[in-house]
Amino acid sequence: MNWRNVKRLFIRELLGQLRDRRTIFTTVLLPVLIYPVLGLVLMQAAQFITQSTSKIVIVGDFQYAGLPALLTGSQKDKDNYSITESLLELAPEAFPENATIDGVKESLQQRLDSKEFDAALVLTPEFGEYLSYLQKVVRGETELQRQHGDLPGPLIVFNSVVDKSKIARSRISSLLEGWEEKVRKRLFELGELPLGVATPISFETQDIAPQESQAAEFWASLIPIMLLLWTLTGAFYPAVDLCAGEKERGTLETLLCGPAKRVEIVTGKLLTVMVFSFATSLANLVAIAFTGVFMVAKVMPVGSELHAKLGVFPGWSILWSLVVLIPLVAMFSALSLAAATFARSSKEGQYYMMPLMMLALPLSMISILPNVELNLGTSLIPVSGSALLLRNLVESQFDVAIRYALPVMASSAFCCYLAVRWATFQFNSEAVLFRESEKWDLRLWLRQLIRNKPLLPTGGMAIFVAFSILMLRYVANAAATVPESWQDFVIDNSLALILTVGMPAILVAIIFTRNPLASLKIQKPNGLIILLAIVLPLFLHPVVLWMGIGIEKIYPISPGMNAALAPVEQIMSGAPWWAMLLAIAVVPGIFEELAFRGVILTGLQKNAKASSAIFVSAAFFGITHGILQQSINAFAIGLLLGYVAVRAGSLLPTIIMHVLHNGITYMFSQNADHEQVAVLMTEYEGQLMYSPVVAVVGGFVALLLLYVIHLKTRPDKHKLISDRFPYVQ
Amino acid sequence: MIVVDNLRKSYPDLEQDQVLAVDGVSFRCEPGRIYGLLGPNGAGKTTILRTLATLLKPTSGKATVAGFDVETEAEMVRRSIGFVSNNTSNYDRMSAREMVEFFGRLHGMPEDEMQQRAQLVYQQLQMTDFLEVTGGRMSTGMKQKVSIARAIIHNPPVLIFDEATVGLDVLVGRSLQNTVLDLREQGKCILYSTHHMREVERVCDQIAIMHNGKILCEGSQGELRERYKKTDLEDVFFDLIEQQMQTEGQA
Repeated sequence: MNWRNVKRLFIRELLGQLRDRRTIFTTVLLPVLIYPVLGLVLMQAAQFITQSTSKIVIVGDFQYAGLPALLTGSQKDKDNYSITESLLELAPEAFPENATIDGVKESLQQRLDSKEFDAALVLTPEFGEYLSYLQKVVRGETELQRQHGDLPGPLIVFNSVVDKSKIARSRISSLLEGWEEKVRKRLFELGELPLGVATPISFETQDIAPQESQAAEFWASLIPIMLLLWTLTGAFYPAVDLCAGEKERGTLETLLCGPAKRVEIVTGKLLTVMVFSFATSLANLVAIAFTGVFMVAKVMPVGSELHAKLGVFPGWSILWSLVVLIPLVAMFSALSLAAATFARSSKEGQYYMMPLMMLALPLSMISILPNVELNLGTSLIPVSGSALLLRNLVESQFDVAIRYALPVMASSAFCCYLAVRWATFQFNSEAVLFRESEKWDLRLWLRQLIRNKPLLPTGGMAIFVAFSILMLRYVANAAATVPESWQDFVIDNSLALILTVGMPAILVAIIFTRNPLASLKIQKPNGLIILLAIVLPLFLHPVVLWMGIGIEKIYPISPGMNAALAPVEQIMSGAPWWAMLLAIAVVPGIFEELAFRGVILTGLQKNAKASSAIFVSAAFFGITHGILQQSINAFAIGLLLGYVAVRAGSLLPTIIMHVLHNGITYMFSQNADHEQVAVLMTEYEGQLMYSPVVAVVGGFVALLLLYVIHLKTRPDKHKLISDRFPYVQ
Repeated sequence: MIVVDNLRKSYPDLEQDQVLAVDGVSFRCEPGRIYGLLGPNGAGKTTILRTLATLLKPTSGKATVAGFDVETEAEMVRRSIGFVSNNTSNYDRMSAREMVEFFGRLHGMPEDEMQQRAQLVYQQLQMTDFLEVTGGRMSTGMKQKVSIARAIIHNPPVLIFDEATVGLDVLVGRSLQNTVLDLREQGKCILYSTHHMREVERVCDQIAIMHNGKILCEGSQGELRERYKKTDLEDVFFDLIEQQMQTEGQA
């Protein structure tokens, strides 16, 4: 790559964007202006909320001789009201003579429905009598005979569906709570009892979090999400203009026929998009700080919790944001660039914003979920890891942040690399760059699908099969019940795999391709590869087991998941070995291979490089396994099986490998003593395990065997190319 | 020099599965000569020119530009050509000078050399009056001049013009044709595609008439008139197209 060209392209694109008023408005001015405007709206709204009063009807007498008054002020002397009382517009009413409490409730309900008032407080005559009686009891004038629960206490009638009514209810509650405390104090004075008797246990709390961390808590939950979303928004609009916009204006073709390589063009554009993405998120951060500190905090009452939270902005978080945002900005920029390149026009480009947002939003929301902490597992999740790292830094939890900074950066950098590759691929794809406005016609499409069947499945068919499998697996898992016997388990598991995994692939191969056998990669392989496929799982087994332990260290299986799996494991332990081998080795080995290394991999190979096809088919293979730990394991094994399938051009070696791997794993789990291979074992965390030396040697031999496969095979390109380009002679 | 040998290019298509846009085309274009590709819309002219500009990869066959293979030496091909088409526009937010000099620098020209060459090109194309005008404010004629300047700033041996006069008025179109003739005098190898008969007659030394991805005939204007016993090139063109359509209809 010629970095001088990259620099020239970057400067040109940057100048072009800086001269575009729309981009500057969306990426810089909008984030700067939106928060002050929102702050002003909030101020107005806060004013509106504090000024609105609640209309309350008080039914019954609320003045009780010898006890503190329910209301400290009076309607005429509003200055003496407490804050709560000043917000109440009271309408006292006498308790109707000879009326029952149910009758009063019914009548109030009707009036409440007709919005005559917001809520009502009912104080029955019996309640007044009870308070007098209590005074006599504490003075020792009578014995305690009646219990409080025998009598109806103050009753609040309100409507929980109406917001104003809910606010009124909360105001009456706080009024009653204050009054209850005063009445209690008065009764204890009358009875000459120490007030501490009423609250024999009072506890205190000691928050050890530094004061600045406490103040930063609010910002720590807000800043990561806002920054991530603005980073994406800031990347997307320039990306659309630089790719789809240039296509539309015809300048992309001008650039493409110039001397710069595609990768230089992509890098120049990527750097430009990154600058805007970064600038947008920083501008946004400054705007949030300004709004929080200078506007919202000024409106909140001094000394209130909200004032303390909003008034202290962790300024140094800006510095941390710079560090954490860099890989994330690069990733979002590359994703936006790839999506925008695919679009034919700026208008179409805007449509791709939402799917990216829908992907980024839940991942960033993970950082504010309770009990989700930054650890090795969460740090490896793209976007979420960065959000959690940022949160820890803003909260001054530097020890945790430093420990996981590297995995977060590594995960983000890897995703960024994939996104950049995808963007470069898009720039190299004729079909993407010169995509004309196609008229999609269902009739034509169906006719072509049936009449002009391709020799092998297309990429679209592969994706269709993959998503069909995911949907069917989801439905099957939702409908599944815990098997009652091992026979049920064997039948249910085998049938589910055949119907939800194998059938979609087989049907697509038969109905929509001209060569179903080749589509499913059912072809005669090299004899040596078969031999290697038999040996390879034996040497890989220790590596795979250690990999499983490593995965469970990073993502421990939850107790809930263990409990859910326990009944199935119990049934499995009681089943004959041949039945279990059939259900968890032979059937998955055949049908999962037909689907993932058969139709899906073959179809993906047609539209992408073999490495990308292997990666995507392994990803689908992993996702289908449902449980995260299994999925990661399956993804890694899927990469290996995919490689062997592509090199061998046949499914037979991978079926053998898959069946043997699952079979060995099952037999190993059923044999606790491992007498036959005792010399290879060591104790690890209370259970027998292959010694690490065995795993390393096994891994090394497996690599050698894979190298032999690499040497002895050639990917079967000819058939794919001749199908793709039928005019090749 | 441009050498095209049995070039084929197909695209996937919803209706026909695969469309053969270029079907076994072969031709040569020498330095100091203008080779015209004449054909109706959809004949495959743009596909050939895009393939020669390395924007598209050939499905089969071979093509070299200035001695470089379009598939394996794409970067060197792009350094050796200037490509002007009605699909290659100028940046709206860049001035004429910025646009031309940006491409000069992208070609790796030393700054002094690039400035000297730019001045020459500006004068040659009479651009000095609007050098600071941005693309969005330029007239169609100005835009076309900037496109040519951008394509020749690095003094390439090969120039490709793909329907470059589409949308231009008669005066600007004539001015472009004169520029192309001047470039021929400078020894450039020029590939010129159009569907205007008069343009071909005025500009091209050698002509290939295309239809449905194939070259139906090739030769100088005189050769073609003589071979098909017609005085007017337009008559040659219509006769050939008609014959071809009849043959395809019978097939």
